[in-house]
Amino acid sequence: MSSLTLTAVTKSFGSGAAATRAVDDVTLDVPHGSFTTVLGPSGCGKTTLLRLIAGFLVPDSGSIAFGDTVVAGPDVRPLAPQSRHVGYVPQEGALFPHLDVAANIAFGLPRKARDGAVRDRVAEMLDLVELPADYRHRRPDELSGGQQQRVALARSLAPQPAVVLLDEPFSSLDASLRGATARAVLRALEATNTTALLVTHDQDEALSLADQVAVMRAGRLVQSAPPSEVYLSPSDPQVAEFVGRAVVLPGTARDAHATCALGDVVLSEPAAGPVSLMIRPEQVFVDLTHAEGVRGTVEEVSYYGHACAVQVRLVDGTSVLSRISGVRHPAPGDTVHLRVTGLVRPYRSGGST
Amino acid sequence: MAVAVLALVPLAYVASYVAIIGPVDLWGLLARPRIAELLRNTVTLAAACMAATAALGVALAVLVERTDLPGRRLWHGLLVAPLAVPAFVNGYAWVSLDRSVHGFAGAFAVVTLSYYPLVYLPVVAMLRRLDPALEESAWSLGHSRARTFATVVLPQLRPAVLGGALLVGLHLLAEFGALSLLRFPTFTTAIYDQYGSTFNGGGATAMAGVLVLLCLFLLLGELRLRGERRYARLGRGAARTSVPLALGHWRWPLLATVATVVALAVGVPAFALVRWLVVGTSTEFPLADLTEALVATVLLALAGAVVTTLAAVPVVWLAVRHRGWASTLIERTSYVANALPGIVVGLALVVASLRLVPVVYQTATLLVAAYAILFLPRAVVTVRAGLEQAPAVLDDVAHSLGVGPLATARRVTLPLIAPSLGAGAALVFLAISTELTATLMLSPIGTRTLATEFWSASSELRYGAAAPYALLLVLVSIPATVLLMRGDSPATRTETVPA
Repeated sequence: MSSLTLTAVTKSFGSGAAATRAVDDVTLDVPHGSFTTVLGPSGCGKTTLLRLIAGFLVPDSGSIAFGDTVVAGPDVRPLAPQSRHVGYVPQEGALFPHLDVAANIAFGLPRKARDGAVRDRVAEMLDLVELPADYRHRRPDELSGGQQQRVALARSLAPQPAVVLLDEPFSSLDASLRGATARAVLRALEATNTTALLVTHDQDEALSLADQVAVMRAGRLVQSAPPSEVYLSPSDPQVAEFVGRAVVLPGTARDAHATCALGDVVLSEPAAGPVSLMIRPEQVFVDLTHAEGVRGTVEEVSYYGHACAVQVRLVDGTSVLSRISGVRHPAPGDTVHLRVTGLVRPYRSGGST
Repeated sequence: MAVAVLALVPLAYVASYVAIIGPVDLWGLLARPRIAELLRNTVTLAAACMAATAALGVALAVLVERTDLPGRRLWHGLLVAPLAVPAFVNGYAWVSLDRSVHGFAGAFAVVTLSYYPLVYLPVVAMLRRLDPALEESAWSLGHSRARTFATVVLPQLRPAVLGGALLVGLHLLAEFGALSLLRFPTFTTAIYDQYGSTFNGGGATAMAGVLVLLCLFLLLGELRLRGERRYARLGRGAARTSVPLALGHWRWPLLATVATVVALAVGVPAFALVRWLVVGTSTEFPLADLTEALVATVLLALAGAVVTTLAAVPVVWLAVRHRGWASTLIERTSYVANALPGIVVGLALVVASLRLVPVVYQTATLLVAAYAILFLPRAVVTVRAGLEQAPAVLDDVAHSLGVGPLATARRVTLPLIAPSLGAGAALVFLAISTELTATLMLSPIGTRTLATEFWSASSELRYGAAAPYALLLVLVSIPATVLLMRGDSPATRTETVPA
């Protein structure tokens, strides 16, 4: 068990003019025993980052360290994957199809420790990932997708790795299975106090599981912070729009206040002059009874039961999305009044803060 | 690399020969009435048989798969059965029963009856894979059943039909035994006669060149087809079987037709074999000779299977794990060699060995090399399907669990591809057991195999003596046929089936 530190890691594919930087100057610190998710759209380089840490790829520059041990870096011969003690859980689990559950879990255990000790370890691991003990003799094709993922995690944890890397492990599961499997994986990782890095393009997964979310875009790490900070205070409007829905409006700021199409709003930090204001849809309150706030006409209503998304066209033509509880909601064509609640994050117009 | 070079020997031989003798002499060798006759014979027979097998294969497949024909499962088994009868055994059966079966009509009938399963099987497989929802959509859009078949089903069958017919064409160009017995001269039989009578490379090689061109022409068509192929099913939903078409009062006439095909394709050879076995054993039963031939065949086939499968492993490894133009080229090369008739491979190896390594001439080594060239693609297809079961991500996982490359090969890759190595070797073993042409040309003097013994007996019109060998050849062919029937072909099996 150890922490994981990446310093200015860069990796390009191809050569000459056709070269693309899949991972571009990424610096990231994953504290010992914590769970970090790397969030980004497909093709942003997050899987390449994972493969660099696992040792399947060697960085062009920069260094990777587990605790105090540098495993790849300048003047260091890159450590082979089989010597790094990283657990690796790929998409779809990739269980060895010719081995049963017990043999899969025991695959990485030293040969000397086979038999008695191994039996105990396998039982312990099955228990850890919340699978019944009699599953040990099942074959991979007799398991559901979620069970396969749990066995794959058990297999990676059995040799007590320094770090566990998970590559979109839940993306092939049904929505109903995804949440339950993710929770079970999280509990197992917490129980063993294992440092974990999970790569995903699913923002719900990234926010709900992690201690730290690292947002990647086009090979660069654009923000790494606790989930609530990434959601409420994204480093730029693009991150805001990738991590959940966002209403971005132009406005004029003066100290702690700003004016925009939704009226006067309170800023999370003082600013001056023209700004872009990032407002989450659930911050936009739709008043159905009082004529207080900015007037608009309801254009579209998407009803989800527990919640309701309402698209409102303001009198000045701006379109704004609001998310409200599903208990009482307007109908298309209704006239409503909108107000912003809570603090609003300002960005200098045309870019980040 | 060495594998690709070996596979190219026959092609290089023909090409270099043509280059050496020059266009004038070549023209002198080719512009003869005999060659024109051979060309006409070969092309008309190939075209007629390809058309006939396509029509017969599709009609039978639709009858068995899509109608309420009584006893469909049984008919399916019987309709595939001709694959287990080597074409030359089939030819022997007809000729031995009725000497009037010969020439174009005889060759056309026998070859069509022997090879229609090559169209029938892929069409059946395609019909099973087709999503019935496609047809249901067409019906719901107001198309009649017949029109739906013509506009929706038939276009989807096209790759299967064309692919099967091309395979028939390639088989026909390579066919020697059956056509020789039926006294219908084509390039292949003429090359053999020339080789046997004069031992003169010149005329034979020039004809081989024409034959190779015909093969490459067909192969080009096959490659183009392969490039166009798309998956038949888009959705992953449960495959339902479509509602079978009620035949009504057509039922019995059609049943009689299918029964006639089976009687001609399976019944006739079976009857001939039984009859000649009875006649033959009443006079003599050469148990010692039979055993000797069987042992020689098994040993040769075993050696060929092992060599061919081992040669396939690096080819497949490169093609699957290190995709690139070089690895694709090596893989394709082996396919080109496969399209070459056994007669060309045999001829090329005779000349190449005499010129380059005379030591191996008239040895089993050379024969095994010929088998490896001829049957490498069968091993490649099977081993490839196996290696695709062992994706690179499993290696990654093993490495991350602290297991090095060698141990990973032993503990992960090998156990996963072992079944496919076995299946590939078995396929090659069976193919070699019934190979006739190259064996006749290359087997060391004194080596007698089932095929050569059968051939010497039947070409001397000793039909009774040939029967036991023919029976053994058919028995040896049965397992491969069953294998082909089970999963349409090893290449199409992609699901993981841990043993």
